[in-house]
Amino acid sequence: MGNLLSYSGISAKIRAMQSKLTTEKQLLEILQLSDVPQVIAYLKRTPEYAEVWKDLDENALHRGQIEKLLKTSIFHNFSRIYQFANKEQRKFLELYSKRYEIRVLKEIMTDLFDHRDTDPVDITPYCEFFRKHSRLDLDKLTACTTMEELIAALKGHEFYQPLSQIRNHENALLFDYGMALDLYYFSQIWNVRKKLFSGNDLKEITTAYGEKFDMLNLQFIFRSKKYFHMAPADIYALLIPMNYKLKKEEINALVESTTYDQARALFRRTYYGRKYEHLEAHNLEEFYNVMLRDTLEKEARRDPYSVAVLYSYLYHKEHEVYRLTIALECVRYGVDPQEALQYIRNN
Amino acid sequence: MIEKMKFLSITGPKADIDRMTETYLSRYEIHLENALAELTEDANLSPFLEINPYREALTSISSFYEQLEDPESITPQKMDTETAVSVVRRIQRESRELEEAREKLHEQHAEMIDSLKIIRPFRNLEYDVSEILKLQYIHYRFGRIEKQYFKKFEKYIYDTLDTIFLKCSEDEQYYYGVYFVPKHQAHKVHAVYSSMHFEQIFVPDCYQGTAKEAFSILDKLHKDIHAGLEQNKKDAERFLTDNRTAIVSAKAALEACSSSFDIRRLAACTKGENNTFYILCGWMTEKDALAFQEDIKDDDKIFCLMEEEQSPAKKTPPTKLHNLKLFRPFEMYIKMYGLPAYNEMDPTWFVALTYSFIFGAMFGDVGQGLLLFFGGLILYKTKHMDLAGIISCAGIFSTFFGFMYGSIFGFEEVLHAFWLKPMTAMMDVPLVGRLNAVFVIAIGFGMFLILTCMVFNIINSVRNHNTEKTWFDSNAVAGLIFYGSIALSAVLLVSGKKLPAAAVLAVMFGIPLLLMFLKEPLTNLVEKKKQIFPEQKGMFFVQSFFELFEVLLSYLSNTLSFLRIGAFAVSHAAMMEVVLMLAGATEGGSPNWIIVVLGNLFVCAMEGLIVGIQVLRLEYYEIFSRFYAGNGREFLPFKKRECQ
Repeated sequence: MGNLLSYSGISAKIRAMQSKLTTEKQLLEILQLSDVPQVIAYLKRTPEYAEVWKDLDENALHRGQIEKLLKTSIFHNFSRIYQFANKEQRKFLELYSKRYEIRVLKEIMTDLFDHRDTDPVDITPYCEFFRKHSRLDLDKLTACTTMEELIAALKGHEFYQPLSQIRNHENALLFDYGMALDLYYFSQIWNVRKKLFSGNDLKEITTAYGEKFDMLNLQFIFRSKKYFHMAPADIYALLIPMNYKLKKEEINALVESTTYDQARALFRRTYYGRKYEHLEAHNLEEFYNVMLRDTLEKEARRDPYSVAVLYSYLYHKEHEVYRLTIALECVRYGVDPQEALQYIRNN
Repeated sequence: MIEKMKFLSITGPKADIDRMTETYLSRYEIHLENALAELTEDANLSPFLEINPYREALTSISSFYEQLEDPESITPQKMDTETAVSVVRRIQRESRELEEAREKLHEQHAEMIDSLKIIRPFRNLEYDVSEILKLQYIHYRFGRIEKQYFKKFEKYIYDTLDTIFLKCSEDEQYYYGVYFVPKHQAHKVHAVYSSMHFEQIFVPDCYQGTAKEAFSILDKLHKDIHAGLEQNKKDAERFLTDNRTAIVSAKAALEACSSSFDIRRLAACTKGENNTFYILCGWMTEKDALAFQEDIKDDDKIFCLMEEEQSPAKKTPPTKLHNLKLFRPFEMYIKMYGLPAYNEMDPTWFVALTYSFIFGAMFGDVGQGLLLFFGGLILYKTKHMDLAGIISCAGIFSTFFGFMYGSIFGFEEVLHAFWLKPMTAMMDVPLVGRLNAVFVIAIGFGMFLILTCMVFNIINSVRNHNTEKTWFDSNAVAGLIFYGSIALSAVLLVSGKKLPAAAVLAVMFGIPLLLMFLKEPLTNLVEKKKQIFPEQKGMFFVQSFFELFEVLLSYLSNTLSFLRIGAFAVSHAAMMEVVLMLAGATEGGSPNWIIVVLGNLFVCAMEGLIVGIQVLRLEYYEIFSRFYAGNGREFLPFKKRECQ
């Protein structure tokens, strides 16, 4: 009953916001368009972007700029929900918003490792958002020129510890740093969930993130088996140290299996193999998104007055932006609409 | 008053210089000049070179002195030179022993700290380390592993691998431990561990017994060394405190010796292998010089030549002020501005009188004046603060003017005013209107002071044979006549008398102005120089015109500056009225005495400060700038006369 009251407002708001998201039908229409300015003109007519973009000149915009604007819209919507949320809901949103911090940090680190001096990370889409919701000082971070500086600049922040630990490893790569951030974030979610949430919310979060972690672990295992032929110990080192429906023995067997086919057979017997018939080891990557969306939608429908609604909306919004980006690319390079729709659906 | 000076040249055998310094120069104050620089015409002189034998001991004792806490609080005892030197030697030796002990401890610490650091994480291991290191068929590795990896390792791998990991300790990030593996598996297992980011720590074979024992032995040693260092530090501190009197005394003794010895730097020597003589030159007050000559009459090793002050024309004698005891505190203000030159007038008495008088006029209150007087007197007598003496003098005049104004602690009704009430006494002035009488009186007094200063300037200039400053300058005779005419006219105007005829006025004002305008050519004319007018005449006239303009303006502003005397007299009364109003004394009935007392203290402190500064400003700007240069040298005796 308490949930019904505390979520009634925000869930109505989210439903309203969700209705504005670009639908698959609209995407199909977009794909029919012949060039980028037309897509922008189209988007300017949709309720999601009409208000914010009304002053933009579609002919003057570059595809890169549009992508940034789309990104900005994610943060914009997040802020709107945050404003509306109560204290409990904000706890989730704050936890969730760390993924944005990690995303920016990863972008900055990519830049550092690739020495892309010509094209520094453009933080404009993040600026506004970070001022409100984050303790990271973006200006300071983007000014760093080496990993050492970046880590030093993070001193005092929660990400300092995982990153500085990696620094102690010999020849640490971008991947190691990114992995460290992800692992830190995931374990944090898993560890604090019971403290922050209770009842339905706890259940939804456990399901949503539990399946996500399992799927990510499965992806890791199969990727390393299929493409990198890594030693078992190295695979173990990369796994997210949480189990939801995957049992320890199953993971052990998967990692230790000598051939890819053996691993596939083992996978069929796991919870996920049994639950999703279409799920095969080879389409894990594509299925990950489908499954995640599926789970979230199901949860949100079953429990419309829980944190699942928030999670689900944010997921959909990001997903929308991602799909639009692909659509834009396809339009730009003149990909056949049917083929393009395939790419979009796969994601 | 400036003391009369005599220039003395003292000479004697070279070896006798220390005895002479010891016996005589401690009794007579002498301002030494560099003999070589003074006696340049005699080429047969060389500097008196000798290495100061006390320098080294003095530097060494000074370094100990600086380590003392609050060394000034210790009074040095009398100590002769030999004792002082031996004290320095003893202190040096003992402190070197402490130093050596400390260095030894530091060395030991550096040697053991590394092995301690290595063994510390493994201190819970209950096996003999050196035995582990000697294992043949089992491989081992000491090291650490990050906690998150260790968890994975434990969960997925440990059970299936032929290895034993002994967890010894943990910190926030790492588990520390050692793992063992059979020789034939070693290669594979090492690879697994390194995948799990196991970091090896190399353990040298230098430990005895189990790791636990080795650690406790080393840990104890470590603590012992630290205790030793601590003890050493305490010993050093105690050593310093035990010897502090000795250090201070030895330093004082050596400093005295060293500075007496340094007299050689100012001395000159006659040339030659044998029978060389030293020469010292310097200034003594006339009184001292005569007494000194009388004193050395029977000493056949010292010859002294006394000269009149003028003869070494290059250098003016140093200035030593000698004033009445009452005026002496005011020397502080003179020294702040600059000492008078030897042949200049000493303005101390003038400052003392005008300062106290003006202060009193601005701060007229019997009660507060007496407070200042007694407060200042007590501080002057106990702490010997010159400023307190000045305040005390000013307090007397404050009291005097308090009676004049009829004011005591701000109560205007209690006393009868002998003269006037600054707040209420009014006066009619032609052209201006009705004004507080004190303002008009202040301006009049200011004019009188300015005229006096001009007279002083003329006297000083006559003494210096400075024609321009005697006759044509704005503070010279021309200025005196011009300003005097203004003053006279003003007095006539105010008192309602008739002014002199226009022709007379024109002469009175015109001629001095013309003189001032042409001061440079006129000076040249009087001094019989060849060129009377400067080359660029146009430039000269423009410049002189503006200078004259500036002179007139400054007469006006300087005169008005004295208004502040009256203004502060009024403001003092006004402020006290506010205090009494706050205390509720104006409405009749009994006032709030706490507010009266606090208000009085506040006004006394604030007004005292402001008035003190304002009067000083008047002294420096309006008075000193007219006649006083203040570019004298201070008389610095080589040795202060020892107090008997």
